[in-house]
Amino acid sequence: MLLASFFIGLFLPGVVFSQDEELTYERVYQDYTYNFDIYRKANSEYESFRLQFLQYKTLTSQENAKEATVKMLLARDEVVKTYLTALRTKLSGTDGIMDDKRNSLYSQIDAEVLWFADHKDKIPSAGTLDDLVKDSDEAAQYYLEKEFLTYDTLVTISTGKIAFLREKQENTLSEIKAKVAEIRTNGDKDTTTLERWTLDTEARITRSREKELEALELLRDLKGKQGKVNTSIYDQIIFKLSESLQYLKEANGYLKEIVNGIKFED
Amino acid sequence: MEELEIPQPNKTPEIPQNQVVAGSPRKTSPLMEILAGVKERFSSIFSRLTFISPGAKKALSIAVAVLAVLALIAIFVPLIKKLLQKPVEETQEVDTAQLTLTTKKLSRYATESAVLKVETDVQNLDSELNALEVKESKLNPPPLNWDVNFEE
Repeated sequence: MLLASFFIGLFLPGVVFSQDEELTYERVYQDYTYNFDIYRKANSEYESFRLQFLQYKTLTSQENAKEATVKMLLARDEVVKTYLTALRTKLSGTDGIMDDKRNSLYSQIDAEVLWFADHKDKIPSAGTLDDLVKDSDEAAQYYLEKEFLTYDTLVTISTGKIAFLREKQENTLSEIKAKVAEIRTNGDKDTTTLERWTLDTEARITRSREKELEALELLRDLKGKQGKVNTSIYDQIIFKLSESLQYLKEANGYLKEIVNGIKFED
Repeated sequence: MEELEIPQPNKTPEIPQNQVVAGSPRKTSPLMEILAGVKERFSSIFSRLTFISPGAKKALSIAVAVLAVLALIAIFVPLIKKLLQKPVEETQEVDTAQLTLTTKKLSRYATESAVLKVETDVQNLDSELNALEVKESKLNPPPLNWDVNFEE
């Protein structure tokens, strides 16, 4: 009983931590989708009252348009805030990311969230439709400037997930290589093929790393003219990372064969 | 003196050539009867087709006959072929990788805890690799309206 409690105590904190992390992300993501839904409705109302104002140009239609625009701008800022928070939470729950890179992205995301929080507070004080247009343009310009940060974070998350599994795979390969070396020393089994297979596995892992580097090189081209992100480059990066993952899958297939080679006689 | 031929009562009478002798009617096979019936039908149909010349009628009847024969061949040849073929014994698919493994003898390392641990690690890694989604599709940037204006 005591032994069982010890083992439960040993593993439980880790489990609780990862579940907490997952729960936090789910909650934050739900918050984002909920706010996006509010924004969609607000934007639809804004479009409708805008058209009415442009058609009738009455004071009532102007007041309605102003109210709808305020609602839409507030909702839009909230969407950006909750989206960035979801992105940050995902980043924090992803392994395989270098601390420097992670911290750099954290501080940039936090600054952006803070900016949109301040901007949101300013919106209700706008007196006219022109003031609201200015407020919107200000946010649009800032969002465009920071768009690269969003994609950089997304690429970092994807890269981290692959790098984490590759590291695990390399550790397993090291253990296998040590076992093969031990068998060779014992001299009771021919290890020539197994050694060749470990080299083939290493080559696959190297190819995976090369594909990741190719993807990261493309990151430089992600920021197009006037700071606007080129989404086709992002798709190319994801494709390269998928290739990187494919090499890891192949390497794992080889590892399975090596383990079987160890388990059975020649 | 010419000798007179006296007919012998036990001898069967010789029938001169070209002489038709009425006898008991021959039994025709059912196939022949069917063919005769078909022929009769066709000739009655053809006789009604007065607008076709006799030569064309002949050619048409030959074409119909050839088509009928071809149709019969097309039906019966595969059928006969199939009947003549020996039934193929169904072979169960065997996983060759499994076969080679099961026929091989386990080595002394098969039950070692280190090897078993590595095997489990590789299996877990396999599940993780297959479950990994490279793209964070749920976190694509939201499509937002940044173009707020009141100009026509």
